[in-house]
Amino acid sequence: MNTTTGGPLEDRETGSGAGLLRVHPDGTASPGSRRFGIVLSVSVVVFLAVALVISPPDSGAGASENAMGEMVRIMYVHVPVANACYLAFFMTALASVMYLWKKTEGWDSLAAASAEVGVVFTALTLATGSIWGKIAWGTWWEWDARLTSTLLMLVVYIGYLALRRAILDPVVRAKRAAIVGLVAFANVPIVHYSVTWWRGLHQEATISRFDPTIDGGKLFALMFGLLLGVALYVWLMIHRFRLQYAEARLESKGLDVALAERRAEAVADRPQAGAPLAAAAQKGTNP
Amino acid sequence: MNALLLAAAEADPNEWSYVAAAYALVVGVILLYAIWTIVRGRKVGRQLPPEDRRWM
Repeated sequence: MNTTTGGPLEDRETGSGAGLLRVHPDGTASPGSRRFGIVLSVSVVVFLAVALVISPPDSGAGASENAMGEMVRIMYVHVPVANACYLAFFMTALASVMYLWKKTEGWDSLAAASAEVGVVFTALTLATGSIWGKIAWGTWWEWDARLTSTLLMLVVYIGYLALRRAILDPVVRAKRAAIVGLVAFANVPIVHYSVTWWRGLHQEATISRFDPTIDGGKLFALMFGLLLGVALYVWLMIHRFRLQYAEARLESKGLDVALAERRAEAVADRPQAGAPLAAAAQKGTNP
Repeated sequence: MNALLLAAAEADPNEWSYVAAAYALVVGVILLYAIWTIVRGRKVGRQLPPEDRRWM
C-alpha cells in the first residue's frame, strides 16, 4: 500500500496510488476486493503446487485396484468447479425468489451475474470431465446420466442468459428471468443425485457424509481446491455483480433520457395540434 | 522426497499431458473471464456517474 499518498481513500477517489493495491477509478474493484484478489492469486499458486507437485499420485501401496495414478489430479479442479456451479445456480434461484418477493433491481442483477458465472463453471466442469473420461473411459463423451444432465443444465442456463438479452423491458425481463431461474434450479439436484439414481460410467461422490474415499495429501488437495473454488466464485461475483448493476443503472438512465425526450417532443407538439382548433373557434366554425 | 521423484519418473507422460491440459483450461478460462469482467467493468463504469458506483 502507498503510505505517502494518503492511503486507500485517496486511491479510491483519484485512482492513484502505487503497486498492487491501486484501484482503477472507473472499474468494479474496491480496496477490499483488490486485497481479496491478491490473497486469491497467492492461494492459486499454492494450490497448484499442492495439487500438481506435493500431493501423491493415486498409485501408492494403499491405493485400490482402481487406482487413478496421476489422473487423480484432475479431480482437484473438476470437483471444485462443479461445486462452484451448484453454488452459482443456487444463488441465481435464491436471488430470483428474492426478486419475485421484493421486486428490486439488485436481486435481478445478482441472479443474472451468478447465472453467467455458473455457466462458465459448468462449461469447465464438462471440459475437465471430458478430459478425465478420455483416459479413464477411453472416450471424450458418453451419454451417461451425470454427463447428460450436466449438459442439459448448461443449455438451460445459456437459455436463461439468452432470454435476458431477448426482452427489452427491464421489468418484464426481470420477472420472466426470475421464473426461469427458479424453475431451472430443479435440474441441479437431478445432476447431483444422477450418479446414485442411475448407475452409469461416472463414479459416485468422492467425499460425502464425512466418509471420503480418499485420504492424506489427496484429500487435503481436494478440500483446498473446494475452498478455492468457492473463493473464486465469490471474487468473480463481486466484480460481475457490480458490472451487472452498472449496466442496469445505465439502461435505466437511458430509458429515463428517452422518456424525457419523448415528453419534451409531446409538449412541443401540443400547441401545433391545438392551433387549428383555436383558429376555428375564432371563426365560429367547425375545424 | 525420494518417493515423489520416483513416482514422477514412473509416471505416464501421456497422463501428465491430460492433467496439464485440464489445469491450463481451468486457469486460462477463469483468468480470461476475470479479465473480461474487469475490462468491461471499467468501460461501463466510465459512463456511470460516481454517485451510482456505490462500491467506491
